[in-house]
Amino acid sequence: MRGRPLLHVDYESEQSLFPTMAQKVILTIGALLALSIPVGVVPGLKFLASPGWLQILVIALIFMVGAAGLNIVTGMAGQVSLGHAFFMGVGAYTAAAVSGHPTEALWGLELPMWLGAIAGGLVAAILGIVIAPTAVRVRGLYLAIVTLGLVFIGQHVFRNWNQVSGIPELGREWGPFQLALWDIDGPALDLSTDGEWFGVFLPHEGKAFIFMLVVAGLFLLLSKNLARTRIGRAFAAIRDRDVAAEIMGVHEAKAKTQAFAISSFYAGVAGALYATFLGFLPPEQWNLFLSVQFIAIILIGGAGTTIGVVLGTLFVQLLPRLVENFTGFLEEQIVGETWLAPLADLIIKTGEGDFGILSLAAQGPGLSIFQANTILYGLLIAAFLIFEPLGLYGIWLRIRNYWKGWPFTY
Amino acid sequence: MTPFGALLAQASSLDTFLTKLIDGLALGSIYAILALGFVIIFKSTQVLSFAHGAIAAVGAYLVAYFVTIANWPGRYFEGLPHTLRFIISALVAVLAASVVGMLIERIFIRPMIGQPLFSIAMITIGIDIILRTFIDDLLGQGGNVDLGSPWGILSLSNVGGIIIPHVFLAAIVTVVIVVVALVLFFRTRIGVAMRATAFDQEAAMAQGISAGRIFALAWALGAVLAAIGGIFASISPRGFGVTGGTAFFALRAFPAIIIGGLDSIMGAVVGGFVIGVSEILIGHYLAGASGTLGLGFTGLIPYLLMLAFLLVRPYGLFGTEEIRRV
Amino acid sequence: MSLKKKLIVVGFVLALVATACGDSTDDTTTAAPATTAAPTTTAAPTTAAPTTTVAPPADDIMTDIGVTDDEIFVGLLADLSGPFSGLTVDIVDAQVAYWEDVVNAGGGIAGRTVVPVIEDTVYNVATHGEKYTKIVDQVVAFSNSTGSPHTASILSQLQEDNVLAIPLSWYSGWADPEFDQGITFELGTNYCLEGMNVMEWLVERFKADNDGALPSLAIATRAGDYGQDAAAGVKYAAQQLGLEIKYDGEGLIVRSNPAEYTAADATPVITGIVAAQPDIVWLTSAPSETAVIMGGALQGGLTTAQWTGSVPSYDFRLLDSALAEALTGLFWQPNYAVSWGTDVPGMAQVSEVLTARYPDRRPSDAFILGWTEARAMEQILRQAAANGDMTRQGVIDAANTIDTIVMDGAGPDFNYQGSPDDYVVRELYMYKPNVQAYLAAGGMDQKLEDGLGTTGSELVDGPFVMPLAENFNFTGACWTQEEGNRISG
Repeated sequence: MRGRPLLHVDYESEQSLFPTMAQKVILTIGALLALSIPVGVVPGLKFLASPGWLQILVIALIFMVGAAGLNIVTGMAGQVSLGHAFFMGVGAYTAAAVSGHPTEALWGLELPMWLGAIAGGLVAAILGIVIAPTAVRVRGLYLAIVTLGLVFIGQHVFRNWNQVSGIPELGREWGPFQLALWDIDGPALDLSTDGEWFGVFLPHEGKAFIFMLVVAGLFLLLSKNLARTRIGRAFAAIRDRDVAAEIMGVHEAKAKTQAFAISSFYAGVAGALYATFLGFLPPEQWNLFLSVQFIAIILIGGAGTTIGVVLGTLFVQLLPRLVENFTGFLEEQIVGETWLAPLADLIIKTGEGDFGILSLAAQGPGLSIFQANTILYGLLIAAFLIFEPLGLYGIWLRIRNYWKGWPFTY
Repeated sequence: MTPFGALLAQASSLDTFLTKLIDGLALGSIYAILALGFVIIFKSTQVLSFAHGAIAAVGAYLVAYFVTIANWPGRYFEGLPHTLRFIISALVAVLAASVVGMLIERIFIRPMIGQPLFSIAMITIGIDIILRTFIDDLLGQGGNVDLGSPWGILSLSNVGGIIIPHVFLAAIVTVVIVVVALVLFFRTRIGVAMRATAFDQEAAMAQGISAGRIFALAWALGAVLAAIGGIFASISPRGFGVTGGTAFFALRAFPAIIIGGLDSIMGAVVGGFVIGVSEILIGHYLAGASGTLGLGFTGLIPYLLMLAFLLVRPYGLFGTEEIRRV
Repeated sequence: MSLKKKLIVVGFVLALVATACGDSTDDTTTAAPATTAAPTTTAAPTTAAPTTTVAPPADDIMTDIGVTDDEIFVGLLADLSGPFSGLTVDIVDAQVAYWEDVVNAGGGIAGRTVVPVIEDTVYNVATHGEKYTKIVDQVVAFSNSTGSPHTASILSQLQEDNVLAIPLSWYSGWADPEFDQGITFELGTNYCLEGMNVMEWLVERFKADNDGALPSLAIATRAGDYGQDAAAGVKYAAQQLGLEIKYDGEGLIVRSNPAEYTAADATPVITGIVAAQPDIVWLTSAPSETAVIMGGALQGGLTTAQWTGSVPSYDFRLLDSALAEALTGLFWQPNYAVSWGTDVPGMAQVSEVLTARYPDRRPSDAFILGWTEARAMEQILRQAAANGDMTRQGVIDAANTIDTIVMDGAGPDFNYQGSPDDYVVRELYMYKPNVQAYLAAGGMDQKLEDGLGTTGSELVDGPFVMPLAENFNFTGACWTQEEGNRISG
């Protein structure tokens, strides 16, 4: 009976991050597989080694850091926040001011990226602490609307503080995505040019991917670890019943402030890395849709769990490209007149008068691929909440439970 | 740095003030109607609908469809003045929007009864995304469909120096009609049933009230109000036709329900007017200071007011304070 | 402890297995993306080929990325479902029609067919960069990159990859080698020169109608390289002509973008314009903003002023709105190329090709913009082929050396030779919206198959260059983010 996920024979095993052997093995294999992606040696994952896919994966890893942050405040502590985009923006612009290139109109200290990211996290955390008193006063849906207001106030500030964020709709440039200890001219780890690492040629997106894999892994582990600390348990107590938690001696205001601070730190770092990686963003980037995206990630993944953060981020970030590739594939079927062509023809609208849900011309009655993606996105949020409130994590649980009891139903 | 200087310089003109006040009341009417929709849905089903703006856009699009694209049922009443034909088409469109509201309730909300409130609120975000995308697709390339409003940009009266566009009067009259109709409705049998369900769902069901029907009715009513708000949000001068931005208008009504209290009908109306009037007046008198306050600061006023109110009264002016039990 | 050791061993074994599996497969390339049709390198091209006047045989042309023995890949990073999709979809469709029905149907370029590679950027900077990375290894050049911030955001990558791009944006910086390092090739007059040109034209007209009296001016623009570049030109003209600027709303129009959940309130701008009671109002905005501001000002009591603005401020679909009458009476609409239905030699071909391909579509001015983009790119590619060098560098060299890019009257002819002052385009067309003519032709129900049709714009003058713009010494961007307005007196 050793190694059952729910069977704990001592306190230590219940408290360990990865209690079973199977989890450790899966984690190791997963990490190795992930590391091999930019090299493109594993047969099924070879297609991911192109710069286009690697770029998407890097962004997904950055989003994982942000999603882990939202998971702390919403998943663990139960405080609904629609203001995640605001904290990401704060982090991004702190990073811009710290590591960006200064001009007559823009601030920038040209310090290394890691300083910018950490400063971004810290400033966001401080703002999280400033916001917290309001968050402590209001609860539930009121809190959701307050944090929504935060996004709009943030947008206003970003659009108007031109020394930091550049001109509205144009934006500014961030510092280089480089890992340098101090000197910006000589990076310790060159992430922005293609080149060889340990004898393997990697595009710069591949290097960034490996770097972000380490960073995201670290942040995810820390957030998973947080759940078993005193602070994390206080969060869970607040989430499950705040009055009861207070009676047990949990300081509600303090715990909520901590949750906002830690979550904002994650958001700030994620925002800083995101902006630095993309290199050039307008101030409008930090909008409500970004917040909604993060909420969708943790809901689809499964709120409150770290594996949910990973699964949810991958799902939400990779879905648009997969849908796009799928429609591309269907189009090829029609053009090539393969046996799949009649089926593909049902889905794709190829010309005027042709029936089809998707229109490749992006206009007229059919939906464009982008619109189809957006609708799919909305449907998925609703469907997961209705049918599987635990998200992808819940699906994983069901599969596991099925095999645990196999061949019996339970 | 002359915001107050600018304020004093312009406040001397009483006519300007009154003109702007009416402007603000008209804007407040739109916020109030949208806020009423939020509150009715929230009060009876405990759902905070983020899809409200999208439903408003759907309503406005339906009006545009019935008036300018299909000319239905206006084509059967060629003799009537344009204003009347517009109102008839608008009523048809608003009824159609109520069907959309009921469908949303039946498909997405009904299965979620008993689930955490935030989960349901998130579902409405999903619905919002879906509806807005459909509207974007329907709007097509121009991204803008005109409603054929009878109150054009030059249709206004000058009453002793006070400029009153007729569309402002229409908005204000509409909100009065809506509020009176709601008050009367809540006194009817079904209205009482609705209030009873909102007050205590189980007790109401024990009395033989079908909670499911009440939920559907609440969503239909909410959709009607959203659609009316959407119409005024997309005709001159607030907008020129249905656009993707029409859906956004309802997000600016959120502060109104927070100020008034999430579950107060009275609060929604008062909150709407507070937001509308302050947005217009502050926007007008501080227009000279936009260099200091930043571009587009008027759009921020509702949210800043909301935060200020929340710090003083966490449950709004008229909202019920939540009783917390272990 | 022993468990950890076991784990490490298992990990190494798995890694070895994984590596072994990888080695056993035949394909070992990692750098080249899977989707790229491997470009054949007939020569290692880094230096510019000698210029030849006669096209060499197709086989002797040097190529690197994006050109194969029988295909040329041209990229389009276009906003197909974002806020400017109304404009961009028509542009892209016109380009596709041009490449396939004109260029490829006529035998292609140097015996190769041109394949447009289209990506939807949703008018989002992040997506723009993502899509750029996705297709950059497939294409030889970009014949469309929608949006100023979007193109600016990929500028350093364009330079790094050394690939030419035609921006769908008329910022004066694109003509400034200091700003774009000679990598972007813009079409049409830029916002700044346009501002000078239009102002002087309108002032002349106003003076003729009002016994030589000078008009007063109100300006309201967006912030950034669109609005403030235009404002720089307008203010220069105002200063040179001695006009009084009664309201200066440079950078005060805030964009509403539902996709980004930003909504703006134009009230301060409207109030400012109405209070100033100017004779001429200049707007640099989006069409929907033009409608709101103009409508609001009319409602506020400003009924006499004439209105004009940067080309993208107006869209013929505004004639479907409640503002149509006011636009017909009060608005002057400049244009970089001709509008749909204008009687020029090139129009017949545009109309014929597009009608054959899209019979159900309504006429659109944006078709012409897309047509001219593709036409410019075609001529650049033909020049490159004639030079015997269709590498990316070869295409850039060809663009810089081509004598004239001919537009058959659909737009001004131009080239990119010499200094910015030599090659910057200064010609404009002036149109006037006419809702009666538009409705008489069928309004929004017009279809291409029913005949030429009209977008309701009637040509008043053009192509014209007024003295101010003609004599303006263009040395660089009129406005930059760092220095602001660089030409104000």
